[in-house]
Amino acid sequence: MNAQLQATIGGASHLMRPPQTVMRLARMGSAHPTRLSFLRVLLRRMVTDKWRFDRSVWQIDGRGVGRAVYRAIGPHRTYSLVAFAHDLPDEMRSDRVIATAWDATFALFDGTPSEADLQRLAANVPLQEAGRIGSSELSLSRANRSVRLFNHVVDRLAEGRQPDQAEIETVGYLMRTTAVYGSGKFGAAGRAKIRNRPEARGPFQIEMLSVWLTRAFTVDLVEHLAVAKGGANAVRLAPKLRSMFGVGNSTGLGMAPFLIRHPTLLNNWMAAREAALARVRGLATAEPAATKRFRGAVAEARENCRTWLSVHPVQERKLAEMAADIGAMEERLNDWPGSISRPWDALWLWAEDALSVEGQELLLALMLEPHGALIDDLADGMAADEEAVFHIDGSATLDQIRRFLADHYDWAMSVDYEDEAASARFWYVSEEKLEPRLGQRYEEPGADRELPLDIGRLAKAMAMDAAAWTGDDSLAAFLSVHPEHRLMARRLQVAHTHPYAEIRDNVIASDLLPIDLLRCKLAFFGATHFDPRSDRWVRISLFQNAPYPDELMEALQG
Amino acid sequence: MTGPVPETRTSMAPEAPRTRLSLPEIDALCTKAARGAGYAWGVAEEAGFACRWLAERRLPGPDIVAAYLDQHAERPWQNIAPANGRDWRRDGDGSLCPIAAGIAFADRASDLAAMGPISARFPAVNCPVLMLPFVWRVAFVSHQTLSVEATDWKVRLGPQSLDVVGAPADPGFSGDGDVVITATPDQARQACLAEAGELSARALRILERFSQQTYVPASALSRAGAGAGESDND
Repeated sequence: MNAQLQATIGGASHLMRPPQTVMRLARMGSAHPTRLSFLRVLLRRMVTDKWRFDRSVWQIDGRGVGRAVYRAIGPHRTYSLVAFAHDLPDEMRSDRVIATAWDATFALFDGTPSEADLQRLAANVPLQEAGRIGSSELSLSRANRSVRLFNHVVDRLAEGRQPDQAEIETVGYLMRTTAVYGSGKFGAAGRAKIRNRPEARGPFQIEMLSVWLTRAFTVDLVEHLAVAKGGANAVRLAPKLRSMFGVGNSTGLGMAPFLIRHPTLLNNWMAAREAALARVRGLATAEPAATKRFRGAVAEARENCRTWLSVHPVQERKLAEMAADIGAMEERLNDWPGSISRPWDALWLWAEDALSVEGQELLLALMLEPHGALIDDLADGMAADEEAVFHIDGSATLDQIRRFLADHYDWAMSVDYEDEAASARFWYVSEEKLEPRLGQRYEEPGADRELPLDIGRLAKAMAMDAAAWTGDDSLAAFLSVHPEHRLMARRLQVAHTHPYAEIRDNVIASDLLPIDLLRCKLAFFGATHFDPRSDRWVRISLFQNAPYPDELMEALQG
Repeated sequence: MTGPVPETRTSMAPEAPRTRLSLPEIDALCTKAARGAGYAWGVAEEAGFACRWLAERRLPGPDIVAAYLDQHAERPWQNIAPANGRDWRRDGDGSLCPIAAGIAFADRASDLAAMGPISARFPAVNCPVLMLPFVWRVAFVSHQTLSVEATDWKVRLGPQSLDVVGAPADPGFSGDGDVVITATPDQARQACLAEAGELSARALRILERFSQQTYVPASALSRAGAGAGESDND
């Protein structure tokens, strides 16, 4: 464990779960959002820093076509979501990255856009990947309507009635984003521009802000269309129902390689979460206020489980396990904390025996919930300076390199990658849409253009070549003969100081479930209602039951 | 290495507008192009880093790496990389690849720093400007300001600084020859960093052509696997 990590956890470091437990796909694929999730971090910061919000432009016609600007005004800077609403025929509506038109398109602008900026963006943002944005733009995204719920809500409001709660629960959002592109994509500003801004340096804060403002746009749009349709009869959404809407997100394989390609970032996310759990487990007592809040969180989890729907067999099984585990937790809590010492740790140790992996990861999230004062500072360590770990120190000896490989990649050494089942898949970028895909190595062409995501296999290949060198040879000398191991050498150097950097599973095996990678990343975003539609793409919801900009301002003023 | 046929320069062609790319786009494009040109992934990442570093310092990194790949893509690694860290020569004849030479130098940064003021000569380097980002890494690790001298230009760089002394206009900046690196007591000026970079239409064409070699053409099987194949009008 590195010194920085040790310092963050303090005396509870022996309670950290080891990477051998945490970094397995089955567990990562059972991750739940926590209070360290990025959207929660964003909402907390906006409250702490007393952000203000307005809708400075609303030029949408009665068909729902036009533009709008939502501004988030922080203590030092303003960010503006520029939204373009379109009239999209049903036959063009597709969540796939191959789509060329959407119900709405967005850019997050750095500052307040001028009319000239809006015109420039109007010529580019609706084209998405086919357009160009510039260094004033921080993200580019688009969304499609959930047609059924969107129409239901507009029709009901136009008639002067509220939408049906059960209908809202079934879908959970009016629009779902199908891509949110961040730093540097399609001409947008790179991370270098924002990394020293406190409000933007945490992971995905810009993207989360964009999605949160998009949520406000979606409810404004249905209310606007209801007035256009129903005139004086139209009513606004009841606040209780309004808060139930999140923003959906439809995500496929494109997101899956991210966690593998960013080992430092993955480590920092995981380490923060695990340090948080260790701190809570290390508490000597369970304070009444915390146990009360915790029991509340368990009740919310039961409600969340009730409205979390999926027809995918893997997720159905997990939901069933979760429902049973929540029942077991409730029973266990009957006589908890009692008078035992370190009651949170006792609860955790009970869960490791009594609950499924799904239930354990849920309990983790619930245990963090009442402990903001103890753990929220850990969010500050979740960003990563990847440039700082790019340089390879070639002075390491081959003795050291072989030891690092044995220590951090033991999970990869026992796999026989010659076995077809162990190397059945390969990751590649499709020529058609430049998106990552997963191929069948022994059935499809293209494995000669494989992406280097097969980390276990790369580690083993490096270990086999390194075995032939003498121990005091240098890594620099080894790499001058074996440039093919350079990528692995860089990862090895990261893994040595970042214990949670590597997923300790074979991501090219025949039984890989790519949705496990997606769920882990999306849980760190703060996504709820993870709903796989196949083994490689999912729908989720963001910001359900979160405050809206107007509510947040009201709360701050009140 | 295998690659497409080099593009011949049409010297009389009118100047086409340059394309603006964000720094991450430059990094990604040059990484893919270097991979497509046959470099190992970990080396291709270094090419991406180098182009981004140069573009950030307003030097024509993507143009130069495009010119280099266009001319030299097909040479095997052992013919273009230094064989050792003493005289930085490669086995046999021919010139050094600036990325391979740069990597060899940067990988030994901590050893070089331990030996005092740095001094090195790299014989016959192609497009030596591409070595600068790697020399900078050595400057960074060793806390030394380094002078880098090539046939027709000289650069001083420190951990945060960069001076280009008598920089000739492109394409002279890519002139081949020996590269001499020495520690200097002189300080260089603070580098003024750009938010984005640009490249010529020709360079973009070359880099995209090489990038293409990293993509897999669609098959019915791959399309079927990418999504759920159901209607999104729900």
